[in-house]
Amino acid sequence: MSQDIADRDRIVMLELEEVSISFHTGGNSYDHGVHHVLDRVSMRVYEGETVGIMGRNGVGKTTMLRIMAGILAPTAGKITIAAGKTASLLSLGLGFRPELTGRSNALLAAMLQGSTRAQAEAFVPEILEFSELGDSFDLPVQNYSAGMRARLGFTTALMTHVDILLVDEVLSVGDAHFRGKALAAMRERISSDQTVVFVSHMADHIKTLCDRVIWLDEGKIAQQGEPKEVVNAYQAYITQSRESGVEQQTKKIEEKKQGGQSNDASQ
Amino acid sequence: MFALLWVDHARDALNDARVVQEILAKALARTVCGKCAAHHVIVTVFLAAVVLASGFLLHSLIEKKSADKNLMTFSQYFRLADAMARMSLRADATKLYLGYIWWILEPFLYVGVFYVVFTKILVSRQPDFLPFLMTGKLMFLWFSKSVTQASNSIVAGKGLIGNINVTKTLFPLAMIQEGLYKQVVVVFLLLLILVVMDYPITGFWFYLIPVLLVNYLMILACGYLGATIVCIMRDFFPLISLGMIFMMFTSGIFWNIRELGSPEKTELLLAINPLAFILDAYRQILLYQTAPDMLHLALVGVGFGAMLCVMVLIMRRASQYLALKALTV
Repeated sequence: MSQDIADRDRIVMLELEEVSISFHTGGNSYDHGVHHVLDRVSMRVYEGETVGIMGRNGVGKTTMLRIMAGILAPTAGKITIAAGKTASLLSLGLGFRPELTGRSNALLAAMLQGSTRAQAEAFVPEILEFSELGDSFDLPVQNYSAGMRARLGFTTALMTHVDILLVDEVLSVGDAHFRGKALAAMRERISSDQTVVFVSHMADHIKTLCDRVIWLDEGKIAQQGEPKEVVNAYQAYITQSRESGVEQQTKKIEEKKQGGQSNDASQ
Repeated sequence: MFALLWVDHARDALNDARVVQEILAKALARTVCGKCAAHHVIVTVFLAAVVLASGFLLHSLIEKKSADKNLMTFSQYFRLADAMARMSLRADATKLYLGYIWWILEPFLYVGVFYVVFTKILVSRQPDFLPFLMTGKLMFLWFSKSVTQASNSIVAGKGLIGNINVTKTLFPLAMIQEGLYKQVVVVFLLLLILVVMDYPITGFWFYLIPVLLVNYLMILACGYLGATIVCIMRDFFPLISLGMIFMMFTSGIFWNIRELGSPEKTELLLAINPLAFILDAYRQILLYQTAPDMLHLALVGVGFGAMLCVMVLIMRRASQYLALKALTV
């Protein structure tokens, strides 16, 4: 009750009301060729808060961020962003064009986020320094290792200045040294008044960076609330499903073995 | 003070415009009668107005939407397409040993292949076959390559589409700009070769401006249409390549559309195939020192200008649907 009263006084930056999204996959996969990714999801993001989203692979976390960023439209339901506010997706890679150099990709990324050519040029030294790419910055991205791509992706994306930052799995980048640097940069961004929606598999990051956590499962919100509480519930669920998975696997192997033995006996 | 400066500036500009107008009128008067020249200048101005109107309409559409801070203004949008095209051209050139030379080498090699086939094997009866073929083939290649590459551009850009809410017209436009920059070099070389081959520089060359404008409008409209269709249904991409082969055989590239033996047939083909009309217009101007049918050109320009506006509206309205298709199909 007191939480509801507290929420009423806060400015809603972004709201999803009964949002569903599905698409045709072709063939007979999913529901007669229709994949239901999100199913009547409702949530609010308040000004200045950091909301974490957790869930297994393929439950619709990235799709949810894409809907929030306006990249995709929901099949049903409504999304509202506070008047005059901008939301942008920060993800690794930013759709690199592999034939272009790191420098060209960084310039393009900045211009795609709305910077002029001159503003984008001004970001370049900063991007070069933070990403620690050195001379490789002027090589085509197709020659980069996965770690180098990730460093370039994180750094160019970090230059984004928007009201609602939608972060998709960006802290698992590069070596331990760069990961520490990326985490510190992200922490600095979050500690300001920035509103953030943060998707990650890393429980520690979710616990330390987020004010509130939403656990998505099978296209629906399974649980939401305090980070510690939700993360623990999610981890318990994962452990349980892993154990039951192992049990089922063991059972199948034993059944196969028994089947094989009875076949041998009959022969 | 500023108002006075502005008036002076405007007066200078007006004087400059009068001088240019006089030069143009004199150049045209040397080659065509005064009445026709005036008529053609009016049609050229009208065509330029169509292109400008299309531009302003697109501008207003984008500006209106850019009240939403997530979307860029028209100048940002155009500069971005220009930057994408230039970067891509530079990257392509650095990948190849002969670099930028391929811009002219590739189209002229195509001409060479056709020339060998049609003079040595099939024995063409067309007089001055080389300049005839060059004019048709080089201009056709601009259309066919730009439209084919633009058609695959949204699908090829799905990496960016999955991360940024950007208008989908950006992708075909960047591809078309790439083709345009290459074509500028090719056209200059073509004109140079024609001059070396003793084709005179005449006032009729001014007609190249409206014909090139209409050709560019055609490429934009067809490229946007192709990009939308291929994004929704990938099966259409091979059909577009097939369609280009069909256009190559029906647009009079290696045969003369005016020597079909029946003027009615020529008229019909020029009327139903705008590409054949445009290629014929280039030849009329450059090889036969004749003005193209400006009313016909204006109609083609208005038609493709309208088609371009409709395509931009559709692509803007269906932006998120196209993103879903690019990411999931």
